[in-house]
Amino acid sequence: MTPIGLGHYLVLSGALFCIGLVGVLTRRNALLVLLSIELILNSANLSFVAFSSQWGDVSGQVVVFFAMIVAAAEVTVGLAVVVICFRKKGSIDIEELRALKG
Amino acid sequence: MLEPFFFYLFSAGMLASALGVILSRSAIYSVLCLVSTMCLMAGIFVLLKAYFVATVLILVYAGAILVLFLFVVMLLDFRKVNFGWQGLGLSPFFAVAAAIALFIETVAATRSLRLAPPVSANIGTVESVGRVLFTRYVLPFELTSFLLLAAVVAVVVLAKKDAQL
Repeated sequence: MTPIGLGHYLVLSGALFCIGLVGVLTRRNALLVLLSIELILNSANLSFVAFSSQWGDVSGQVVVFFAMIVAAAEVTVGLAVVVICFRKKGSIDIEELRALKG
Repeated sequence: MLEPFFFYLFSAGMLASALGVILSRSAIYSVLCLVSTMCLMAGIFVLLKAYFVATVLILVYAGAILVLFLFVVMLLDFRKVNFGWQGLGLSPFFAVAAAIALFIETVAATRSLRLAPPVSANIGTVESVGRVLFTRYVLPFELTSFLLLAAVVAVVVLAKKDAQL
């Protein structure tokens, strides 16, 4: 078997990104869109760690640490918004949340 | 010999779980599939010798952020909400075609890489990450505390009874 190199990890990261992309584009439930965004964020984390292991530079892992903090803040506020939308409109279907549409 | 075996095992599990996230018919199944994706990704991080971020992934991501998702899914009354595939945004054919095109581009780009073998230094330990985090990256580290404070203030304001969105 060929040794597992950087390319393998990057292809895996790209596959996860594409799966998350399909989830963001096609699902209509706001919670599932947020979950797919988390999947995309984690594919980026994986490629950061893969490059950090390739070059022996620990800065990639520090960036992953910061990305997790940012994801935590974003999920917190995003879920609060989803809860309020559900409370006001009774639905979290993104096709029905069009109050800002021009 | 062990490393390719674990890599393929973890990555197959991760791709299956990720497909479970986007294809599930209920939000709880999707959140649990994402939890299993995170656990398998922590396994891949350990293969890459990044022990600190693997632990932080399990503790913070799977243990706090996804549990928060589960709280929201379980506390809201979803009997009126349509979860299934019959309500779709962009037609799934075009989304899947675009994703497959992007994936083929990624594979083509990584095939053209000609790299030296990876540096085998033990850099993923808590000590080495902490040393860099508190010397070179101390300013972003302190700024993330402001970011979290802003998020907490935002949620407290939004959670008031007469919240106007």
